[in-house]
Amino acid sequence: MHNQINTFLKNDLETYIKQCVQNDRGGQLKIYQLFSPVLYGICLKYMKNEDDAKDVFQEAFIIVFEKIHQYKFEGSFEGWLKRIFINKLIETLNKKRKESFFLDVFDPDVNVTDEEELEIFPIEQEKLLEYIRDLPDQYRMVFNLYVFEKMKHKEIAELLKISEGTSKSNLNRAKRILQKRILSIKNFKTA
Amino acid sequence: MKKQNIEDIFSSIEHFSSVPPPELWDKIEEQLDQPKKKKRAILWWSAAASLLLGLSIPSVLYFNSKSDKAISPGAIENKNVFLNKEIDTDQDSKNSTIKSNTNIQTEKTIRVSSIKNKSEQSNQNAANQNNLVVVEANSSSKVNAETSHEKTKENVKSETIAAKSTLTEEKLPNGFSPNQNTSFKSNDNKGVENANAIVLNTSLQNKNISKEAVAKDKFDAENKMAIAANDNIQNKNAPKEAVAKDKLDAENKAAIAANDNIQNKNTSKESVAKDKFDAENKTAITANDNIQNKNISKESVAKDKFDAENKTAIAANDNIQNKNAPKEAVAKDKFDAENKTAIAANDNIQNKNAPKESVAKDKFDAENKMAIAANDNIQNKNASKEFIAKDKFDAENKTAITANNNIQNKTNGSQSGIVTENLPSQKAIAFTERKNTDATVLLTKTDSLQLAELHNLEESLKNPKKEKEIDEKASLISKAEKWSVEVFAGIANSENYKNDKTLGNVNSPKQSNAYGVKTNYKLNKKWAVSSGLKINELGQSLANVSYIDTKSIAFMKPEEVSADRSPSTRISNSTDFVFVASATNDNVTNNVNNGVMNTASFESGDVDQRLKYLEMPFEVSYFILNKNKTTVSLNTGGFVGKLISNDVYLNGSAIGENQNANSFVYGSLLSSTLQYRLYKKTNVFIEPGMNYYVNPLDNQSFNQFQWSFNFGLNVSF
Repeated sequence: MHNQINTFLKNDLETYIKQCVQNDRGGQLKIYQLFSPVLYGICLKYMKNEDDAKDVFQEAFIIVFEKIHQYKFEGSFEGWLKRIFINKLIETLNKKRKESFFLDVFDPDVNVTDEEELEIFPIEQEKLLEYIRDLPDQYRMVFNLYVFEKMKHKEIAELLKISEGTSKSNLNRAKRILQKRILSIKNFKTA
Repeated sequence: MKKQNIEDIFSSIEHFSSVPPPELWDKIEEQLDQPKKKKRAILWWSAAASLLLGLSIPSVLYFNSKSDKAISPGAIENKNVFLNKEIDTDQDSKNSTIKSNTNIQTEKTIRVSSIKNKSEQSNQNAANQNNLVVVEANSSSKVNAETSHEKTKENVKSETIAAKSTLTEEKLPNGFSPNQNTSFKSNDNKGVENANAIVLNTSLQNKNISKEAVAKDKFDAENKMAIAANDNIQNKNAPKEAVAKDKLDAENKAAIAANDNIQNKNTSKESVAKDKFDAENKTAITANDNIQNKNISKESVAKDKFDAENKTAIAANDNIQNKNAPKEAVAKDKFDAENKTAIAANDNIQNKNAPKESVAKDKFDAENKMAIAANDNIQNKNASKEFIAKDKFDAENKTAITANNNIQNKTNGSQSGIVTENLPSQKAIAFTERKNTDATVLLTKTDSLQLAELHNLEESLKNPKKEKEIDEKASLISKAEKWSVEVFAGIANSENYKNDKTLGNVNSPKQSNAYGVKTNYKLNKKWAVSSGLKINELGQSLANVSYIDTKSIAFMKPEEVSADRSPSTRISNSTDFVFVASATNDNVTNNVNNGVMNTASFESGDVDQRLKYLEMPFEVSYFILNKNKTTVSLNTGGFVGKLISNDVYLNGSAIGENQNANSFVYGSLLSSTLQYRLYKKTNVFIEPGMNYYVNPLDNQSFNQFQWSFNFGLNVSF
């Protein structure tokens, strides 16, 4: 039964994709409805504020519809979409980074490994999201790619055009910042 | 107390999703409706085409001007007689006829081919009367051509030389035509021996004007080339017409494309409208993913009631985990469907402590509608009595789309944060949107533990997807700039490792310059292909070459020097200098001793031979290092080159051309590129390499290896 449904849904998805290739608005709407929540969630994680996330989401979806003919029905379509979105997010953040500041410098605490383990206590998803979004752009980018996309530092370095050491350093610093935020909440609650 | 690190804490939002505001789709739709921008690639291609055109036009002009130069009076005054390969062929075959091609514009052709060497008037007369011109040249003669008949006679150096050139004209109304027009006949009566000192002396007779010889002119083979080159005159307009036609076509296409867009727009709108209002063939899809049922006591996990008359309902509850579900079936799906399809796909439903009521009841009263409910990642906990989700679609003749994502119901006895919308009859599309305030529910400690547990379960379910994720990551990296254009310049050193000798002297290396443009296309992370245009020079030096300056010997017979020389020892077509191979020095010395030759005429000097090519390389590159801003690649491939310059220098002065130089040359190349990203998409690179030329000259050894060291700029896009 499961296979039948998967086949059915897969066929539907293929139909929608083909409709999108034909620039059919109905197919585009269906693709949007099916995948927009996940993709919008990614945008919210990578961008500092919701307005920026909306902008990137919008631009990336346009790219999706423009390049959907390049999808060869090999591998996961959702993965393909995510790839486009993450590329767009990185491109946007790289632009912003060059406009503002450049963090590709070697941090002396690159090898710091004294990450403190925290006691488990409930934290809302929205709070966690807020903490991530409060991180500096490059820290957030490295943290997201490392923690959520499960990339290695080498890959992150290539993608963000920074050194591997910088990637490690940025991740370390991001973790420290997040650790502080979480500890401060814990102290506030216990107090 | 259990501890966890930062990554574990944040892994809970790894699959975070959120419904975007509805207005975003409107904006996207608006942008999709706008006409598409021209792709950058087209711009780059047109830039590349312009560059190519820019290079080709000067090349054509250069070749044309060279044809003119060959018949310029200056060349005649210098007494440098150039023999072209066609003349050599003539000598071998005794007779040859060169017919000019179609579309020769009579007047211009004659001007170009002969006006330089003749009196203006005679040419114009010949031209204006559009007569057939037949030139017979006895190429065994040696004459220093002058512009006048008298001078020509005075400059005849040898009695054995006879020159006859006759211009015969017959009245033909249409002038030059492919089958009737100009024929050059070169009759070689003497053979090859004196070829390095041949001058064609041509006298033209215009019977229709004065029935006397008008002039005696020298027609070297390049004149003929010039005639042929004029074929291009008429063709120049053709590309313009083609361009204009292309423009028109492009405009039409653009108009058609625009119409297509309009049609598509209408079509898509129609399709949307059709989807919205088409009463038949409607689908109701409920996709509830990742819902887990635990401790279900009495009620079913999911009840999807489809009151859709005449519809088919398919309920698929996959990966449902039921724990302690004693009495009821896991899934009860009621299908009142008549002739319609309703699909409910509930995947991975997680329900905890849902004792009595169903976890989700979606009632679709959608008659003649399409209802899509996509409920992802629904986590229901402790939902005791109430429905967690109630989505009621009363929208008749409409599409109801519900997208509920990441709905979390925790510890709330009554209602969850899911928004229930009753769609009014007129609303076509409804997004069931989770509001942040409703969705945000404070977590208790036990909940966070349960949440972590759930995520672990989800992780274990999603393990098969990891391979795909790895692929995705790999392709993320390879999503770099694929095209790049580079300009480069450098030095090249032509060498010969076979100890080949020319005229008995070892071929010495010769340094030259090279420059060009190249386009690269990155196939993937490791491989790339490239091509472009490059101007490169192959050369060699010969030190202390013995030669005789024929200008300094008044009545020297060429055979006296050349009797013991094979034709292969001729390196230049110059008639002013006769090079003597070291092997023949003894013979020459004997001649000198016998009083045949004048000792004063025997000199030695340095000879430089240069062949300049316009090359088109085809390379394949493999990146052996790609780290941060630095890349190192190995390149190999081949090239084809067109000879654009062919010179022989004696003691630094140009004396003529290399004998038997091939017009086209082929070869292979091997190089390594070290590239460093300087700024954004701009790179600098150095490129040491080597080239091998296949047979640059016939019947003569020449430096075939070339070491090169190029440097340049590379812009990727």
